[in-house]
Amino acid sequence: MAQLSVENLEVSYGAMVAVKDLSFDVEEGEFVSLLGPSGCGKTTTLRCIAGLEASSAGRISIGGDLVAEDGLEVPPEKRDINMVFQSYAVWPHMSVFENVAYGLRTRREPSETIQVKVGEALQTVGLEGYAHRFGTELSGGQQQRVALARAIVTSPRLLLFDEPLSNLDAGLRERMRFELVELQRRLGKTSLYVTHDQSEAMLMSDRILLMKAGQLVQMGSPRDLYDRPASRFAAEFIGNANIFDGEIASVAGNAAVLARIGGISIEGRFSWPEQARNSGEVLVCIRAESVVRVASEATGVNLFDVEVRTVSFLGATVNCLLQLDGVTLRADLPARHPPAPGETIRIRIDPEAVTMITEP
Amino acid sequence: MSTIVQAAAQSGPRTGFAPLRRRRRGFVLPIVLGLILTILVLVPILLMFIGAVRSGTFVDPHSTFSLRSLQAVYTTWPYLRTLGITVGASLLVSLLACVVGIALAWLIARTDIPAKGLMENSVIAPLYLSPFVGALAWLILASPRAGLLNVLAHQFFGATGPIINVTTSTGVILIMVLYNVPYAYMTVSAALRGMDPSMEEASYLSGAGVVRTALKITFPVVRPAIVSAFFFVFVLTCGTFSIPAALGGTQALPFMAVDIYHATATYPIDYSRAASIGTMLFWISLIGVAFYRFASQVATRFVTVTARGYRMRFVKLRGLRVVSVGLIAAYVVLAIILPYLALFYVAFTSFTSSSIAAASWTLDNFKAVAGSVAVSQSIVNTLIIAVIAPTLCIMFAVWIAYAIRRLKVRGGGILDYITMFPIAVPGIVFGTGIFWTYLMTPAYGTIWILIIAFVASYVPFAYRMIDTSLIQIDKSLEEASALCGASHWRTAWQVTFRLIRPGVLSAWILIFIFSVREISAAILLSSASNKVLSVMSWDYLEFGNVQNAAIIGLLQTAILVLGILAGRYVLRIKLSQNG
Repeated sequence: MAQLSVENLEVSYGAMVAVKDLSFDVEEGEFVSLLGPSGCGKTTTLRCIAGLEASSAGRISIGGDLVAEDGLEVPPEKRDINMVFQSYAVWPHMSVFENVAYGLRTRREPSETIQVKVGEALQTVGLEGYAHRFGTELSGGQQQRVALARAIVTSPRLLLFDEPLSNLDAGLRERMRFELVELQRRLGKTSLYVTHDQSEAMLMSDRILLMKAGQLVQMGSPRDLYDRPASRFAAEFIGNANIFDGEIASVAGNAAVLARIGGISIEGRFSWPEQARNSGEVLVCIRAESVVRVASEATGVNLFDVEVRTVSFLGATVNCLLQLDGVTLRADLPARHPPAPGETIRIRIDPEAVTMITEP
Repeated sequence: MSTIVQAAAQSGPRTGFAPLRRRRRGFVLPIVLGLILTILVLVPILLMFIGAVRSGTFVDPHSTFSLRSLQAVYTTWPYLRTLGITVGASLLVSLLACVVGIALAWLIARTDIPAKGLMENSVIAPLYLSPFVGALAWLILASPRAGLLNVLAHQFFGATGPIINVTTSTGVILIMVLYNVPYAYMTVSAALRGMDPSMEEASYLSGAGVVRTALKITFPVVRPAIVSAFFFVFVLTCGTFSIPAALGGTQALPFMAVDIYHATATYPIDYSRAASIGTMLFWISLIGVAFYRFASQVATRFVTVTARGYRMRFVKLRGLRVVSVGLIAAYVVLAIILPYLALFYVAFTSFTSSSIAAASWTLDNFKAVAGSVAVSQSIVNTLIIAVIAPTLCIMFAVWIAYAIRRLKVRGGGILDYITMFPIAVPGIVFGTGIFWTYLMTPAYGTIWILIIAFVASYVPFAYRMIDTSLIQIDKSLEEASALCGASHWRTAWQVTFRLIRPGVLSAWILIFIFSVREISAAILLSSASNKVLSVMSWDYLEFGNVQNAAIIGLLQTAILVLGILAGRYVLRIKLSQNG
């Protein structure tokens, strides 16, 4: 049985529909991210699961217990889940110890148990020795750890994260990502994580739910979403791919497709068999890092001579704008021996890396 | 409006405007401002202290140095008893007002109570009305013999003797609570709104219910605001003249402010005694304000990171909804509806009928009173003061705030402190000081002495509100104007003053309200030629003419309401957080 199950969830405020017909499951111990641009309904979904927001239709069950349905709304304090907030929400009038102990005291657990459990939770998040500090005396990262300790100490059935790292500075955010993932794997807590940062979602999740305008766009492992985007939105939002409008020229038996973009022909694959067509319009999706520079005498499929327009240095790679018969292509090439602007170079794009998408 | 009660709480980062700062760091401006502030604010207080050790006024050639009044006031029983009662009653009033204010603030900010905007405006509304008129109305409603409620009880239920009596200490305290609830409400409600909602959500998710969350998280987090509301109401109540005076003065509940008035108005007139009591009241207020400032500073320490404004999850009241709405409705009925019904009844009926239901309605009384020369003169006085006092006050406050905040004049800290000083001085104490200061000048006995007194008393409120507006303007807006080549004056005129316009307008309206309803300083400084409506109403009440007092109370209320409506709908000033 899924630990969390959302069926046909719908949330609307008057005429504004924030979440539309959303269904998904999260299995025991799984780490799932809700990913999408701001305003896509991901936080609303999370808050519905937490019980902080009322849904208009649909069912939510946690650990097999129905918590939200038409006419039924279990209040958040009765759902036996916990949440880490974007603003940390560390209570300023309580010490770190009291913050973490709060949920246990609410359940009237004996004080020896509280001592032990709070101690363990603080150790887990690396805050031993801070128990008697006050929330306002801690840095952002430390407050985030307090919030995390407070959320795991009650052993909730489900952990919710509402963009917990977005208030941290870049360096700390990177570190906390790894720590969070490591912690989640160690504790094996079923987690639902909301973020608008695709690299965060890719790094941390077992599975990503990509949302747009209140609807689920695509669901799958990070690898799946990256390699096999099912729509223009997915391809652009995750990894910011080059996308061209093309037309299907011919389809070979081994699923290879030949598409025409303007004056050029390029070979690729349909990533989703059900999207396969024999003719008509198609979106051709090419990741910037799939473009490889080859020797000017190389031969084979998907070879193009392009003119280098601009070269931007990014450290490990250079980001180049390449001109190919009226089509502009972004490419990440190795920073060692970069091409010069104005130069004409030969590039190759592996047909396996050219994804064809037909949108309904 | 929330800025009134938070006045002393704000102390934002001091943002400098470098180009201006370099050019304008002379001595002339701070000295001029310092001199004006000294004359306006410090001299009256100083002269009150000197007056307390004189045997007579400054114009009296026989007056000498004497500790007689000071000794009497600070060491003898009746005065110490009054001191004890004033402080004790004020503490009780603050406590009760805070309890009610917190409950109302929580209901409106945190539950699914219907019509929140209307509810909030209803709770704040008594603030715009004169507490003196409210007390007068309650006297009409619930004085032991002629009180309308008692008469009604007698007529319909055959009650013998008064069922309710406001001319007792309990009555005075409860009426004071009634008119102080909005101050407590506004401070606590501003804090609740400013609080990060996820603080409470985190508590719910930790398994705590509504009650535990409110008691363990919500109220502790806003505790500094609650404490500062408590001391704000305390200081305000200590200096209250209107309510204890209207409800029977010293017999019901001796109050220091009433004693000051009696020292100057009833035989034997003793200005020195008035000054002495004034000094004592001054110390009490100063202590209260010290606590208030301390609490407000703690309050700013509690400010936390706030997430995007997510919709707050409101506590579902379910069956308690009716009870909650009833609670607010009861407050509005007691503070506004019942009192004004009583005033209308008394003003527009002839007193000859024996039964309330059979009373004949007439406009004669109203016409006679409103048409009399004395009353029309006091309407004119009130209107002149209500326009000039806020205008001067605001102009001065803008000047000070701009000089301190933007021009960064030398001694800005001291100027700020002196400007805020009158907040610690009750109106009646200030009136005493003004009296001693301007006794020998031509201003004495004219409306100008009232204008001076009001400008000095209210400049802290205007200054704080305008300063808050200035802080909220991003300094890069002004820097951009300077970099576009605008002169310093053009920048001030075209950018700064335009952006603080809403703050200036709401400060104007606030001080307009204060000036129209003010009674305690006005009564000390009144003469035949500078009577304002509040003093006129008081005079009639003292002569036992409740009907005329009520009519004038209604006239005064009409001016307040017209002013507020004009501000709200013509100038589009926001008077509360919900608009």
